[in-house]
Amino acid sequence: MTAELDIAWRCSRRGEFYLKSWQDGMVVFNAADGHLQCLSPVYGQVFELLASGQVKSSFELASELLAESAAPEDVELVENALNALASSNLIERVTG
Amino acid sequence: MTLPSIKLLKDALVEPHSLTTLTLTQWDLLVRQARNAGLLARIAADCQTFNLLDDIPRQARRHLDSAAVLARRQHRELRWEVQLIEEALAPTGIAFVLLKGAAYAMGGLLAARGRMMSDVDILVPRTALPEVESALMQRGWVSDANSDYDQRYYRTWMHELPPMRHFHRGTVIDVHHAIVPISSRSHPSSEALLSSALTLDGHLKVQSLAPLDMVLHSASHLFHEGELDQGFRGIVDLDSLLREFGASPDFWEQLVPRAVELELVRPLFYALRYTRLMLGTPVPSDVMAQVSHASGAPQSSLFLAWMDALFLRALRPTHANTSDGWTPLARWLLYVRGHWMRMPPGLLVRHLVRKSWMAWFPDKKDPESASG
Amino acid sequence: MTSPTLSTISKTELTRQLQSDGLWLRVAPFVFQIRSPIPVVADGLHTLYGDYELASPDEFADFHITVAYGPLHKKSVCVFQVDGVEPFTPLAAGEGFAFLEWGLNWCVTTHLHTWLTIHSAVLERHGRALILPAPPGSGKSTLCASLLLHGWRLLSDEMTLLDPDTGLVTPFPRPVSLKNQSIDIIRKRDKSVVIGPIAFDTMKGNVAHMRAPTDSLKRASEKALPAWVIFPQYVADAPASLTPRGKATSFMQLAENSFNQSAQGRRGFEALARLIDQCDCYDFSYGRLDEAMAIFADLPLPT
Repeated sequence: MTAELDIAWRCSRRGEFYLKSWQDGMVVFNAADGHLQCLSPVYGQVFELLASGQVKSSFELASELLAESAAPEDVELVENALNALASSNLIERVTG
Repeated sequence: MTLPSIKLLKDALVEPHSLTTLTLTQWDLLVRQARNAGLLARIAADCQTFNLLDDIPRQARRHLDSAAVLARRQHRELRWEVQLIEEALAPTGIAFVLLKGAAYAMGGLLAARGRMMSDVDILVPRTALPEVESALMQRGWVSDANSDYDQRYYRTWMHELPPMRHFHRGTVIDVHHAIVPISSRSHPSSEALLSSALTLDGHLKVQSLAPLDMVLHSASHLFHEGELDQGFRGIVDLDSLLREFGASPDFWEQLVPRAVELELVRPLFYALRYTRLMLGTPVPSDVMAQVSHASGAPQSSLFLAWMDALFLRALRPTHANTSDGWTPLARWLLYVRGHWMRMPPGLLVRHLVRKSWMAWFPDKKDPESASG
Repeated sequence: MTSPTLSTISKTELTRQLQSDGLWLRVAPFVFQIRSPIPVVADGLHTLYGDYELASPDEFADFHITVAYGPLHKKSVCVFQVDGVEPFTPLAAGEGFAFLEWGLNWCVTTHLHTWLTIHSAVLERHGRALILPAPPGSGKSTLCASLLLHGWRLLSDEMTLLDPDTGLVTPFPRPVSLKNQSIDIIRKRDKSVVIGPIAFDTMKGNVAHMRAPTDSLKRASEKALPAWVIFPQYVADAPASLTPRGKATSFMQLAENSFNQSAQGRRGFEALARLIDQCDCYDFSYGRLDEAMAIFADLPLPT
């Protein structure tokens, strides 16, 4: 077990998000602040896995995306997406 | 000189059910008056509360519904803004008191119904100002004052930091340490206000003024301040607050004594007098008598007649059909009076003259710095 | 029984009304009361609004407009006033009619939020609406005017009024604004078009308006279901080309062109999402109008 397995994520509790996906991406509207943004299809997929509000670890998310147990390189890739989503205030890290 | 009627707007506010009897021509006038007075969304909210919307003609209803959309959006943005302010100030551990519209909205008060609000005003202890300013700057708020003169004006004479604008969102926060300017003739104790403040449900450090103080602040804001363009909306706010808090038995008993304690008898006197006159606010007669005899209330009947003339004109909503030719002058006199109550007379003329000069030539060099 | 139209009163009477109690005009789906002492405003109304119905002062006017001379009777400039408010700085008096048109657009987009409003031209054919969102300079107005001459019905040349509940577009047909060379281009394509007063050297160049086809006015109560969202771009001498465009980016672009999507909150988001879902989205570039018209003539319906 590596340290990466301990990082958990959830959808930002500050927002009220509405999503719509198409082939070329996902649009996300935060009704709480009126902000609209567009995510690439992959980032959109990652976000959608958290949109229900459940807390999930990077490993769990990577595995869900791949439909099989994720390797460390896969987890790292997904974490790039997760960090980007976090800096867009869509998701937040859960510590402890 | 008889003043044109604002009966239509008054009746809409005081007796919403009467709206179902209006003709299209009356609706035509009411929508315009209400929009100019900043009260269209309030009327829409009342129609919603009392299930009257289906009885409103669709032509007028479109405008009411539209105003409601904007007010709802503003409320959401306000809640978001308060959340961000709370997060910005959390590291300081300082509790802050929301004032005016933000307090009404976050407190779910009747006064918040359909109310349009822009800036957020907060009150903090004077000693906390540097820390608060710094914490806000760390999270992206920047001082909005245009010039060194404005900076000095705010910090030396007023009761607040220069307004701070968030560089990204463009929203404005006004940080006060007192509810009237330092340079004012009366000095309501900020300590008294802060120690009576109540924490909002679900929040740790976000507060609002106690009901008595909320009313007194609203009164002092309306009757001390220079800006009277939304004067009628101020009267409507006061009416809402008085009706809501007046339902509690202790409120009327404590109101005048608290005003005396905070040196706000005069604004309270005007508040009670003009809400009663304009909107029929149910102020108990004994309270009216009490405030009339309290120290600080105007005594000369001539003076009162003059103030009546000024205020009743100036408090009318700005719309071609509700203001007579005198009103711009009346507003200017009250604007000057508002400033007079804040600033020692010598400073006043200099400030007004400078403000208008700057509006015409915004790109000219600041003469204050030139002359040193 | 239909109401009398503006063409039934003389220019003199029109001018008299504009200078006194105001002209009450039904401009579906609204009613406006208009006042102005400025001759070019009367000219524009007389030339371009003949087929619009007169309304009665007993009705509810959505906006009371005055295009007045500048302060202190300065007759070289004019101001736009609505319901006692002056939202803009003055313009040259010669732009008075254009000011009225811009001002009306501003009034609707600022104060009406029962629709999702999108800055675009919108036209209809066989019951389906074509939305052409476009920032200035994209050639939207020339394209719009030309399409009108090729069988499309005008819903609006400036804004799509989308009902968020039904997903239908409410028509708001008015004179079509044309700028600079478009004025001559359209005149050449059809000599029978009626063009109103030209305002020279405005901030947008020379501006004039083309009279809306009578048919568009007659059918102003017929709403339409959107079928196409097409982003036009004029590129001199380029061959006309219609390229499908991703829906997510189309959504974002449309939202950017919307006046009140964010203000409408969730409802606005869902209305826009539904619109994009049901429409085919394209980028369209063209250099020659004839080629453009041919492409639009053959637009397939969305599946």
